[in-house]
Amino acid sequence: MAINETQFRFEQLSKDPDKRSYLGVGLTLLTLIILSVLIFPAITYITKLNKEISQAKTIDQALGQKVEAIIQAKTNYEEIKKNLPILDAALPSDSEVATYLKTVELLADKHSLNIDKVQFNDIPLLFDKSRKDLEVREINFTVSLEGDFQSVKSYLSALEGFIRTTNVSSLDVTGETLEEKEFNTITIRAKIYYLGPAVAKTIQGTNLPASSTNKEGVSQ
Amino acid sequence: MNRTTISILTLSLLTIIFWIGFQIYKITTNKELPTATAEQIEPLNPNLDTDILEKIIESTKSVTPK
Repeated sequence: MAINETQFRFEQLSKDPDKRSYLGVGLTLLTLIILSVLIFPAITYITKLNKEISQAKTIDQALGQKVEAIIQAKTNYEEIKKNLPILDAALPSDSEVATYLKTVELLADKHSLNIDKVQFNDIPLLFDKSRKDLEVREINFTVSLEGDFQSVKSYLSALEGFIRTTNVSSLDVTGETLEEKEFNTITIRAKIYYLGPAVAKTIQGTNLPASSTNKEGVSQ
Repeated sequence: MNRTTISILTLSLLTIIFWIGFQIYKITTNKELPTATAEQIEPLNPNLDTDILEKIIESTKSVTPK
């Protein structure tokens, strides 16, 4: 019954060719619109999946290369493992001022010099050693010594030859004569290095007065 | 249906086609990786500078306090 009615209406419509054409085109466009809207989520989903697969392949390749690099790095690390303490001593991952100060004192004692005063500037207190922004930082310090000038020369050589990298930046000598007088006051300004972050909590101008250091150059 | 309706339907279809095309372009040109993944795939140089280590060892063969 319904089919007959529809057929009747279509026959009525088909009598006018313009209306028939418009109807055909209109229905075709409408169908295309509906289909497009329906398949849109599927198309975007498929595109996203393809994109993810492509990215996953790239990541897989990069990770594979990184694994190879890590294996190579492990081999290289094993080769130099025995020398790592030397590297740690030359460039510690902490300021280790106390240890260094002890060395300064021991060297002074060894070269028959008395430490009058030692001053360290900007000593870092605490920082996370696992941070990625660790770089070579410097600590400036000043040490005042009393003693023979020749001893100071050998002391400087020993200080610069010490495993922890030390750069002497200036040297002030006060005394009546440099070569003969036994009692000269020598002020050495130098810098040591450590591995630390750009900003760390610091103690500025840590001063170790003469009262904390006896004539044998040992802190009390 | 008349001409106006056909025009509206045509424009609608074109809009939808452009919309789909733009979405596909947007997805394919987006090259951003998650931050964690980008960090994980960062290249690693496995070569260690052993020359520096040797220089340090050489330079410290002089005076070292016991």
